[in-house]
Amino acid sequence: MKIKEISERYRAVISIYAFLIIFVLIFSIFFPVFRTPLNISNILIQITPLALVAIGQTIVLIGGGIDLTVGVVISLTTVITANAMGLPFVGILVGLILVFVISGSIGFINGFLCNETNIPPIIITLAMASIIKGLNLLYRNEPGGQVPKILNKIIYFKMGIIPISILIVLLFYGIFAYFMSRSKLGQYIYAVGNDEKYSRMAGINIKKVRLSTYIICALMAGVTGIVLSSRVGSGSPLIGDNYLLDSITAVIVGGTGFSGGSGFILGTLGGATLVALMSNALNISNVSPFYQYIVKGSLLLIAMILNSIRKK
Amino acid sequence: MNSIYNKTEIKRNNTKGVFVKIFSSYGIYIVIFLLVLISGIVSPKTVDPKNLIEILKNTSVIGIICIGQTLLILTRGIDLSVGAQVVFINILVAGISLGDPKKTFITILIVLAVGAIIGLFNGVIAVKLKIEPLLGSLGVMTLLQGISFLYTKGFAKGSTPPFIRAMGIGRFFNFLPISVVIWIFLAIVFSLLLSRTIFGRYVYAIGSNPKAAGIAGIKVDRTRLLIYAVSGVLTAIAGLIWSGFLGTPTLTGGQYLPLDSVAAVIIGGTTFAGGKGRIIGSMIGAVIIVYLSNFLTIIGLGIEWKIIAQGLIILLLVFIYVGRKSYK
Amino acid sequence: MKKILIGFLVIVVAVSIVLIGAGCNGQAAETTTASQEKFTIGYDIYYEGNVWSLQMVEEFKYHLQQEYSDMVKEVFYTSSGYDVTKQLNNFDDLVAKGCDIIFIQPLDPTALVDKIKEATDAGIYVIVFAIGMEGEDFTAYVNCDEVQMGQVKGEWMVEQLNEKGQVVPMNGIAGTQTCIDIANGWNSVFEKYPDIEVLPEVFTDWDYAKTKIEMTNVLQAYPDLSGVVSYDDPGAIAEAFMEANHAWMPITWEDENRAMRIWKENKDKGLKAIVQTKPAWISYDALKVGMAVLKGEPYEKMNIIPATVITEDEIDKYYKPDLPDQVYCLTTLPNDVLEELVGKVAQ
Repeated sequence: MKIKEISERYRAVISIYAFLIIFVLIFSIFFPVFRTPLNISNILIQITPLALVAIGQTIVLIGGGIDLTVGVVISLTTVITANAMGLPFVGILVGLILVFVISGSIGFINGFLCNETNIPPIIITLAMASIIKGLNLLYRNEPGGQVPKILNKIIYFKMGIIPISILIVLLFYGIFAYFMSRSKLGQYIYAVGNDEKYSRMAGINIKKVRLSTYIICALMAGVTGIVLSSRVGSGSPLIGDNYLLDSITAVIVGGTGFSGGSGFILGTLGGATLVALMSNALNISNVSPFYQYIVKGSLLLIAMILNSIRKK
Repeated sequence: MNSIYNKTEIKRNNTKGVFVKIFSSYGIYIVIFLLVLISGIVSPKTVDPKNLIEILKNTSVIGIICIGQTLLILTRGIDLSVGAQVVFINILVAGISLGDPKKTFITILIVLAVGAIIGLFNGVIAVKLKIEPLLGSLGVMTLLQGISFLYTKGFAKGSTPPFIRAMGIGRFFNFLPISVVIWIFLAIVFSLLLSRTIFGRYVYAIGSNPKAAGIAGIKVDRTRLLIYAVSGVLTAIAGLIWSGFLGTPTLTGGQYLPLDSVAAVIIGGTTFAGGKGRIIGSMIGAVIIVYLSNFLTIIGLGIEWKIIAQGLIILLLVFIYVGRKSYK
Repeated sequence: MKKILIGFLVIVVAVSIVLIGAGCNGQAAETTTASQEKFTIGYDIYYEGNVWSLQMVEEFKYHLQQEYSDMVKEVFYTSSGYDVTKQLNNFDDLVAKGCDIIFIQPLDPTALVDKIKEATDAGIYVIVFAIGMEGEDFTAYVNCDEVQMGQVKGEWMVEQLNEKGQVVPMNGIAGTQTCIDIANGWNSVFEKYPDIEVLPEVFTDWDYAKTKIEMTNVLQAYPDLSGVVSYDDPGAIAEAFMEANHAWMPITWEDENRAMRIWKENKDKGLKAIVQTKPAWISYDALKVGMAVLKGEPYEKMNIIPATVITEDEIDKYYKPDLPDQVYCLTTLPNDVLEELVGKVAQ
């Protein structure tokens, strides 16, 4: 009885993981390279950045908004990591603090504008993305810099086939899954995304809640930038651009809707894994690049259609 | 309309209320007037008639898309796949006709039909499957990109036939661009459609309160689907003009079209809440966006400053329009 | 039950697409003598939406098939779509698939440095070509010197303008190494001539429509413009001139077929142009080096190729009137192969 209830509630999350498991099984059988230790550890590394940024996007979407600045925040963070940490007196720790202060401020501005004006979040974050990208290009208009190598050594240290980075991912997912489902603020985020007016009447401080979603999202984009630049070794003002659409895809495939008020952090982990896995799987199985686009293109569409059928 | 709340507001009659009222009706005209004035003073070359005609010509594609986008946003929809559609239409034009003038008519027919189909596809996703239009159209966008790649395998074949090229770059009397004429014609037709026909009233009714509209006997779903199909055809026409402008098929381009068209519609006074807005506002919004880009290039701003300025100005313009949030 | 059925259908569809795609991409070359050693070759396409990039791939494939098919066990192609992260992932995947040699055009000058070093340390050969990068741990490098190319363009422009005039630089995507290098090249030349005024750089993202629109804006804004130095599509630039009915001036050119046609039609009407560019056959040069490495033959690690030049009197040598506009004229592919790729011109 109880299992049936739980499975009803978490249908979306269970479906995505079931699909993932079957997908992995099929590929492992047909394409032996897929299941080699090297490839598995590559996949775990490849999932990392998308999985991290998707957490933030999930939270913003649950709260009823959207954040189009994640791509440029990632880029900006890689540039800061690659350029600021080498300066005298700065060092890694101060550099990290700098990253969080800057990305946090961006999140604050996003949230502030959403709270104080009637401008739709899509327009706010779109315009902000433009502004941030321009500022980034003013600061550094070419890729470069040097990320302290020790970051790479720590984050991508492999225990067997498991890189530390994936543990970092799991840690964040654990924290945020707990946060969203058990903490007061987490519950408020669902409430605000569900129905703003009633939340306000129920006494929830909407402004604080909304602000916190945007700050969390920007901070997670900052974390993503640090992790990404540690792997790449340098910073680039363009590297984050593709993460925007991918983050949204990951969240939707993971079962969260666009209208706010519902969604599962753990679902996003499955979504991000599938999106990141897809590229690797398509490469390993030799699918021609032109087919790759259509597979990834249909993924989002199929996920959405399934989501909506499920809701009925 | 005559509720106790309205009466109280009219009684207040302070200057702030009057200003807001004037601005919400005429604001967009004031904005563009100021824009032209300021840019004319800062850089007289911007207001040279030749440049102004160029700006209008460059606005025709996004302008026609904005007509459809306005109708959609009015009825609580949106279409972010317009950029991918335009690119795909261009590829189709080149691939079907291969530059052959004799195939022009059949190419245009197919393209318009495809536009309607894509529009309807978006519509079914938004209206029947009830998927958030913002999201659904994003999915259609990625699908279209995939189809474009698959169809061309990277090497887009063919070129635009002469008649369609004329649509994009031809001019009447050597100065009036044909694309501008097409755009303005469509804008007038749809503006009249919205303001003077029953269809227009249905659109506003569905936008402000779909449930009430349904109860009042309006076939909400069918109308919304129709609007999606119409928007698809409009995008196809924009795609034809785009194809005429380029003359050759490409796999890239148009990335700024979806978000710029939405920004133009919002600046023009249509809100996401639905039920409020006019075509003319969106048309001026589109001109403002293109004008801005032109002006910023002419005054020699580097690309970094240009995109910062564009972001700030969009925020400012939309804010002037929609104002501060009030938590009563 | 219905849910399971739908899920099953989706999986079947997804897997079938993949298998079809995999099937369609079979590329095991014919075997000849068993004693010949065969290699697994990897090639990453930096962008598949760009005809130049794809033509490079075709030149590579063609010569691989024609001249080295007995050395090939398997060839794997991945594509990066201008995405640095994807390229890193693709590189990992190619290594995982057991490539003995990888051909790559790095999208970021520093991102791949460590990865390439790891690969070469492990005995995998890496040939970097067509795009520059930092570091030296690759097996071989094949490219034009983009800074030198920029200088050559700058010098030509200065000569055309008699050391005096207003020049606008039109470039691709802000922030990419190619564009930075070439701009450094021509700027270093222009600096030496005080009577040459260089206007703010215009970035067009290598997008045809954007190039055309920006060129029109520039023509409007600067009536004293005397030259265009660009790394952009000259077809788009030329169309802007033609539609504005603007007088021609010196413009740096590229070898796209449409551009060559416009040049041919307008060279006597005041259009002064020259092609100084990186040809699509540079992938063939890279292939030659890579195969030499595999065969154990001597090779040069740094292969800096001078820009290929086409002057006004050589237009007919390269222009292909029977082929469509999109083809790049500097090619080693025979006409029938090109026709198959890009189609014929409508009669």
